[in-house]
Amino acid sequence: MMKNKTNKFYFLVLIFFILNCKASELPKPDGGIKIIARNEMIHNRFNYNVDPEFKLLQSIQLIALNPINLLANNSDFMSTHLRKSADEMKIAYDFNGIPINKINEIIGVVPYLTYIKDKGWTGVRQFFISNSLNNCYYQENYIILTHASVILAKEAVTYSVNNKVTLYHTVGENNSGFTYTIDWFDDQYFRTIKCSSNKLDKNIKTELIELAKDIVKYNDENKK
Amino acid sequence: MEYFKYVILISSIASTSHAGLYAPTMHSRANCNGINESVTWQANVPHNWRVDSYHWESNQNSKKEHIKSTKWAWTTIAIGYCLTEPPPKESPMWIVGGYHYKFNHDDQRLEASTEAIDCNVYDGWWG
Repeated sequence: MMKNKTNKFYFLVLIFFILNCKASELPKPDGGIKIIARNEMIHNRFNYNVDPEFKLLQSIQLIALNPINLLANNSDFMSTHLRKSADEMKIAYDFNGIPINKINEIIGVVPYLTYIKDKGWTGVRQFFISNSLNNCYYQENYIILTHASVILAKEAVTYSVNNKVTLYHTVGENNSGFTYTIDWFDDQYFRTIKCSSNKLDKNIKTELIELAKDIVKYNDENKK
Repeated sequence: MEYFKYVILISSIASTSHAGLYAPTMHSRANCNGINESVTWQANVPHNWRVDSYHWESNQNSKKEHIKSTKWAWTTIAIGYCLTEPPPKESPMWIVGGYHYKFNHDDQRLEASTEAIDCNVYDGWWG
């Protein structure tokens, strides 16, 4: 009888655990922006101390010099090599990008996300250099075509960029370099700026927020 | 639902490439020499990705479908696929739809949905 009671107890504990173990669902197509507690998000995350895109950002100027990437004459608009201008790509929506007067130089652009037949790429990544931000990229996901959606941890969410849902984080270590990333989300775009630096710099966050605001303003002014 | 292992590919530099070199790209292809698949990749840069590839018959009266889903993994390429898949019995072709997920710090995204009924604009990963 004791054994039956013990088994019953463990069974009830198991049921209680299952019912209270809230793993979030995956985001759904056109599911918008959902904000939940961090402990409700899925737990299959890989935490990393060194951003794998740090080396890509640090070497982008060298990459641009590679003859394969000087593709002004490449007529394959589907190729994912680095190009000087977004005009050399077939983009499925009206892309304005980053205002050139707010940075030093655009290194090049590449396609991002997916290519829709007869329409073009649904996202773009622009690599650029800024005196205050070093080597960076700006990227857009046009969610009207990608049907993207996102679930965010409420503990990390702010509204720093024009009252849009915003995330910011820094990744890195002193002996490997740092990346600084700002994401902001609305009902048409998921946008990101990511920059790399060999040192930790707390001023970069403010710079990124201001540049993000400039991008929003520039794109709103140039909407077709 | 079956889970498949990831394959990490190292591609040689070609004069053109239709898959992500300096940013992630995602796509699906269907009825492509027996291959139905959905894939996310970026050369040499791993991310925390997952891909769900849905394969269903083009006949709208047929409700047969199956899903090839990857696990979440830190990887440069995530593929949900069927190799050597025979043509469907009740329809002229397969339709393949892909859901491409990414887990960042504090955000979990469906980055893009993809769909294909043929080899699509991609003729392979190596240009």
